[in-house]
Order: sequence, then structure tokens, then C-alpha cells
Amino acid sequence: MLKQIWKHRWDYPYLLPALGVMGLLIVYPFFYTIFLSFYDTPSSRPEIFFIGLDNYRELFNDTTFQLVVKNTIVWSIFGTLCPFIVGFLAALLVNQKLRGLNFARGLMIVPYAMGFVPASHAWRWILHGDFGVITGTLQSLGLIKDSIPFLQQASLIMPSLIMINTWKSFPFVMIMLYAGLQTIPEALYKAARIDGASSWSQFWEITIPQLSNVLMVTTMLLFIGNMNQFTLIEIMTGGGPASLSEIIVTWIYHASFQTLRFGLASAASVLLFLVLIVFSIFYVRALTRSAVQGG
Amino acid sequence: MTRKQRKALHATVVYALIILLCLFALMPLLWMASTSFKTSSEQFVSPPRWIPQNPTLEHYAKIFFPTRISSGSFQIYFFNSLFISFMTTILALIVALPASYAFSRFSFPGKDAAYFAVLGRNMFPLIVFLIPLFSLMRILGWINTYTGLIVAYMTFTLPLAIWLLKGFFDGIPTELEKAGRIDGCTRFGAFMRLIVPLTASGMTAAGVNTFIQAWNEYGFARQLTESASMRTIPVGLAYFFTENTSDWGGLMASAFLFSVPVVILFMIIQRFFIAALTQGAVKQ
Amino acid sequence: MAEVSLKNIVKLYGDVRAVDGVSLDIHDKEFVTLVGPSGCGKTTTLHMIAGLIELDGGDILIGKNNVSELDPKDRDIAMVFQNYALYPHKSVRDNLMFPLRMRKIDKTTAEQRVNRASKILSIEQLLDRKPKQLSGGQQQRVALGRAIVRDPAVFLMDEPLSNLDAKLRVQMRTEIKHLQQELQATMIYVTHDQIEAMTMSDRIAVMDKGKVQQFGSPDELFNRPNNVFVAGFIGNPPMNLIPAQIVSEGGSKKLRMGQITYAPQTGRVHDLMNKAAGEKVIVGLRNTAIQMVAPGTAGSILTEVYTVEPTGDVTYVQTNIGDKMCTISSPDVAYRGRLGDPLSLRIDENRLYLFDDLSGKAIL
Repeated sequence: MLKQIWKHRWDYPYLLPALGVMGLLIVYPFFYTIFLSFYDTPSSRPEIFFIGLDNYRELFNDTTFQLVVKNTIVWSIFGTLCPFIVGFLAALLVNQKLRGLNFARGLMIVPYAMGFVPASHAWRWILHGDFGVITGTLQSLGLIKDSIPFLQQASLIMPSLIMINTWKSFPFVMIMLYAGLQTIPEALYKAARIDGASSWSQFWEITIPQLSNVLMVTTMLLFIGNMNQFTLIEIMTGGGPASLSEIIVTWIYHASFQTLRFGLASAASVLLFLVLIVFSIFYVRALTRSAVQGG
Repeated sequence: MTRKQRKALHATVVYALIILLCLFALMPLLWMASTSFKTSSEQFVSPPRWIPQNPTLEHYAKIFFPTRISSGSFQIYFFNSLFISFMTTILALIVALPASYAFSRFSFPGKDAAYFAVLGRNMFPLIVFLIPLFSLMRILGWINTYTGLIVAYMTFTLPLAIWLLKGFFDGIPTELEKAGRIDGCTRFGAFMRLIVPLTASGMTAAGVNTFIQAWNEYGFARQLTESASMRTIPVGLAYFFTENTSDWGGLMASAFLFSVPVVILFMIIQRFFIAALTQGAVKQ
Repeated sequence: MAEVSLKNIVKLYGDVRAVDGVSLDIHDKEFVTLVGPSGCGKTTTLHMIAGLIELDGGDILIGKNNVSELDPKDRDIAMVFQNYALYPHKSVRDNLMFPLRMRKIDKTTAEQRVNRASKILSIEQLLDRKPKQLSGGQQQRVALGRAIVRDPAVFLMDEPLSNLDAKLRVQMRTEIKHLQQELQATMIYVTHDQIEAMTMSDRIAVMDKGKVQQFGSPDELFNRPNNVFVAGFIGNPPMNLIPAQIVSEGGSKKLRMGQITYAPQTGRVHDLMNKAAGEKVIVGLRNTAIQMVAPGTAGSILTEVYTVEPTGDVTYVQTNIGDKMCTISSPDVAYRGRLGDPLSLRIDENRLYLFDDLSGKAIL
């Protein structure tokens, strides 16, 4: 081992700047978070106090945090499912052999290209309860009387956020699956047509099995991205009202920088780490499997 | 139905769905643009109008020619965003270039673990890193400085830059360095003189991508800056209503100005970016 | 099994006439090959027969039915693709079952057919493997199997051997030909390799620029090419095609090929020269129609050795005749001339072809 390292000693200088930066910004924060999760960090005093697992205990007993976990699950699952369905449909559509679809594909990428911040502000305005374009249009068509408070009414907040996420993330799914569709040999479809398969059978017998890895990778990336989605929710609702749209990452942010409970927030971060690591393992598995199959 | 009719029906359905999806995709940007050209009173008209009746540039005029230049004006935010994003890009490329080359070419002990650690960063939310980074920046005295933000931005720009550049290095045949070394280059010389010039397109893609990432960042910029004069545009937008109540026209105009360059940049590099995004996930 | 008729079929890609009025009548149980260089329209023609590409003109009949408007699945055809197009995620057995399953053939019958086909192709022991676990030759057999289980009216083969190495290609060539005879199948086979075409086919359609240049038996194509293209395409080594001019010298017509002026001895060649429309012609000579003779032999022409290429049972000599590099077979396999060695050559005038320089058509 040492011999190997010595043999490759001139490889490491290439990595030194990167490793230095990564160590400072990623490795240190990672372990510091774990460390801090066992401490009480009173905001009134500079010292910190070791309290063992108390932060974790507090989290498990906190009803708000339970709601936050529930919100995160709903958000992550439906925030993945909806963009996935729309994105898959878009990928299948732009994969047809018709004119002008490249152009359409370019247009459909716009939501993905837009930053979360301006997009969120735009949606805040579109969904505005009194003057929003959706409420206004529906009212003028006589379909509704009262305004719709998309971001205030408990039953509408999550669906609204998930809709916005569908808008923001479907292009990503489209890009990934379109790239996947492009790699399926045309001859397979030709063979299937000659073998008598309908479009429906072709989709289930060829497209889906051929895409299986890309589907897996895309879903995992989307799911992880949703669990980590901070900006969209923070700007749209700030987690409110009454924590109805709070998810774990926004909760961590608010616990750290609004209520200044750094220790408690760190404990939540560690729990989130653990969940994400499990998902990452699935993700890496899907990735390496597709790499192996790619030969 | 004959084959031709079936084909025509198929095309009609596809186009109809595509148009619907395109409208869905473009709606916010269009509405943003529409609002930004409306007078303050027309914003609240019911039914809402897509085409402003009395188009006005007043909101843009306010942005470009404010009655007074305050520390919270768009120009300051714009300069901050531009400077920070640009410096982040430069720094990320300088650090990522040799590292991604090493990941692409060498096989030293610990390589897989290091690469995994780099990529693994993307699995975790940035906000979680904010607590320790915040205390680190306080210790270093970098809160509310450009340096602090630029360095903090390495957290998420560096992994992506390394990943993108490694993809480009992987595409360059190793015979090139072998030939270079036979012709008398040192190993580092071969890298600098033969390989780096070939990655111009890769560096552009990675650079533009880094720039966009930094340009759009919100959480760090919000927490690691304190004074209004240090804010970037995304943070500035969030403070918009504290200075101008219900000025949706002004907010949409600022957001539109902020989005358009990024969308255009993205469109220009989308080919590279899509190639990078799908590499690994899609067998070629 | 059935006959297949193509009636003046056309395919346009923009302004390009990829298939330009192809008409062929293929008999029942016949093995017909479409051969030509890449871009000649042979694959497009095959895909049009399959129904994978729509016609822009003309009609296709299989049996007595006009199938021009039918879907591939309704044409009663099976096809073997260049890359086999085996379904990668399905086992060999499922690959073979697939066309039967899609046609809702009941399971026991389907299994019987799969077993029969795998026996014919001796792939029984591979049924549970995935295509990736098979060698190229084995994949080829499975692809054939998937076509056989259907028991179709017509087999279509799209360059099925081009992905195999040279040795395996020769072996599979034999097997496919044998299979066609055993199944008594009508088979339409596409290849760019004229040797494959010559060795396997009952009849060959040589295609170029979207048109059938000549349709006939291998012997016909070899011995009586219609035009310069067929002459140059069929046969290995290809026919030597030397640009020439018909000149009158001392009252008789001669052929001037570069610096060489050749005075034909036989009435046959003089007849051909008289029939020529213009002065400019192309002289076609197979490698065996030019013989190396002793220096000074009457009527011989003098050239020099360019290279000598021994292949074992034949030795080819390359030499310039009238500024055109020509290949001839040395009568002595052990001949090892060096660059610049003098050669005396005699032309076998009974096997000399003349083609019109403008139209390329054979002068007969």
C-alpha cells in the first residue's frame, strides 16, 4: 500500500488544491455537524454543552418535526412522481420522428434553465390569491367566484408546490429519458413491428426494459434533489403557514438561523444524512449497473 | 383508417400535447415578461391580460435609472452577482482542472474514495453545510465578504466542475500524452501543453455551468451576507417588498432581467450540458 | 411460401430518389439477393417489402395480395437484421416466443415451434441465456430462429452476415443456403458482398443509384454483364475496365488504350467495334482473359510489372494497360516478377467486352 502511494506520489499534487478545498468545505462540515448534534448550543452564551442524544430525543418527541417529516415524505414522493410522469411523456413525444420537435425540446428546457429564485417569484405572482393570473382567469370565465388562496389554504399548499416542482423538474426527466430513448436501437422496434407487436406492446416489451436503468437513476436523482429542495419552498412559502409546507431542509434552516438551535438542527441534519446515504447507495448501484451493462 | 390517416392522427395528437407542454413550460416566463411591461394599475386588472394594453418601461427605467443609488439598488446586486459568479467560476476551474485530470488518468491509491467523496457532496442539501460553514466563516472573518461567498460556493461548484471536466478528459485518447512524452514533454508539460488546450470546449461548458450555479444560488448568499451592499440579486429579490410594497411589476422586471441571460447561456451550452448530465446514466 | 412482385416501387427522400422504380418478380421458393454498394437502395427496397418504410409509388405483391398499404405484421414476412436486433433483456427462448406471443398463438403450439426451430439451428442448449452471453454466430442463429418460428411466406435478410468474422461468415453462408432449401422458403437477401450474392443466390439483382442494373442468375451476371457497373461489381478480382478509343489505322479499326494501340484479330471484336455508337468505349477484360505469354508472341502487348500478389493457389500480377491498373492471373503460381520486369500479354478476344463510354451499356 505504502509502496503504491510512493509510486504514485506525483499524482497527488494534481489533487492537492481540490482536496484542500473539499476537506475544508465538505469533510470538515460533515464531521462538525455530527459533532454538534450531541451538543446544546444556547444562543445566549458562546459555550456549548455535551448533552448526548438529547437533541435526537427532542426531535422524535417534537410534533412539529413529525409533521415536517410527513411533509417531506409527501413532497418527495409526489414531487418525484408528477415531474416523472410529465417528463416521461415529454421525452416520448419529442422522440417521435416529426418536424420541429428539436425546437420544442429547446423550449421545454426553459424551466430547468431558469433559476429557482426568479421562477419562484413568478409562481408566487401567478398563484397570487387575489390578483394571480390563474384565479383571475378562472373568475373571468365564471368557473369560480371566490379567489383561490393556493399558498394559504392548507389543502392547496402541497399540491401547489408539487405542481411548481413538476414545472421545474419535468425537463430534467425529459432530458435524461430522451437521451435514454435515443440509445435504444431502432432495429429493435423494427423487429418488434415485424414480429407483430402493437405500439403498446412495443412500449412495455422494449422501451421500458431498455430504459430500466435510466429510469432508476433519474428517479433517484429527482428524489434526492426533492428531499434537498430548499430555495423553492423557502421563497414560495417559507415553510408556512403553520409549518404546513415545512420540509426537513427548510426546518433545519429555520431551526439554525431563526431560532438559533444549531445543535438540534445538526441532529436533524445527521438524520437526513443517514436517509440520503441509503438512497445514494441505491443510486450508485443503478449507476454502476448501467455502466457495466454499457460494457 | 389507412396508414396515412393514422399517421396524420398520430402527428396531430403529438403536436397538440407538445404545444400544451410548451405553454406550461413557458407560462411563468411569459407572464413575468408581461407583468414587467404593465403599468402598476394594469397588474391588478381582472380579467388578467397577457398583452399589456399600455406597455410601459417604467419598471425597467426604475431599475436602470433609480432616483437615488442606494446600497440596496439593483445595480449593486447585479455587480455583486456578476463579480461573485465570475470569480467562483475562475477559482473552480483552476482547482478542478488538475484534479479532474488526475481522476481521469491516474490510478493512485485512494482515487475511488476521493472521487466518491467529491460526487457524494451532490447527494446532500447545501443548507446542511451552512451551519458549520457559517461558524467557519465567522472564525476566518469572512462573513459578509466576497471571499467568504466565493470560497463557500466551491462546496457545490467544485464537484460539478470536476465531474464535467473528467468526462471531457475521458474523451481524449491517452495516446496523445504518450506521444507528447516520447517527444520530450514532462508529464505535467504534456498535460498543460497538449491536453488543456483540447478541453477548451469542456472548460467552457464547465465554466458556464459553474457560473449559472453561482448566479442562481440563494441560501448561502442570504446567510453569509449581512449588509444590503453585499447582497446578490437572488437575495435582493427576496427583500424587494420591504422597500416597495406590492410592486409586482418591479419584481417581475428584475426577475426577468435576472433570468434571461441565464436562460440564453443555458440554451447555448445545453448540448454539452445534456451530454454531461446523462453521462453514466445512459449507456452510449 | 409465396412469390413476391415489386411493381415499379419508388422511395423519395427529399429530392433523392433512393429507390427509383424497382420492379422484380421473385418466384416461390427462390433465393434472391439484392446486391450493390452502400447507398444503392437495396436496404431501402428490403425495408419497403417489409413495410418498415412506406412506398412513394408502385406496388408490392406477396402471393396474390397487394400488401403496399399493410403494416409489417400483416404481411406474413419475417426479417433478420444486420445487428440481429435480438431483444437484449429477454432470454433466447423469450426472443423466439415473442413473435408467436404477439400473434396470440397458444402456448403449447408456440413451444413446439420454438423447440423445432431451436433444433433445426442447434441452439437448444442456449435457450435460457441472454443475447449478451452469446457469441456473434450464436446470436445470428437466434435471429434466424426468430424468423423461422413464424413460418412466414417470405424471409427477408438484411446483411445478416456482415457482423461476423470472415471465417464464420463463410460457414453461416452455407448454413443459410441450406436452411433456405430445407424450409423451401422464399428468401430475399440483401448484401454488399458480391461473393455472398454469387454463392448463395438463385438470382441476383444488382442495384446502383436506386435502380436495378441487372437481374439474373450468377452465371448470367458474370458472363453477360449488361453494363460497366455490373461488370465492375460482380467477380473477384473485379473486371479490368480500360478506357479506349476506336481509331482507324491503315484501313482497319483498332483499339487505342493509352500508348497501346491494339489491333483485334477476330471478327467478333470488329463487329463490336462497328456497333459502337461513338469513338470512346470501355474495354472489359476479366483477369483470366489476359494471358502472360512468351516475349515476342504475335499480337501480344508489352507492359511492365507493377506488383505481384501471391495468394497461394493463384498469383495475381498488377500492371498498367493503357494507364489503367489491371489485375491478371499468372499462369505460373510461382511467378515472382519484380517492379519493372517486362510482360508480354495476350488478350483472349472471345472474352473481351465492349461498353459504351457514355451510357455504360454493353455493346452486344
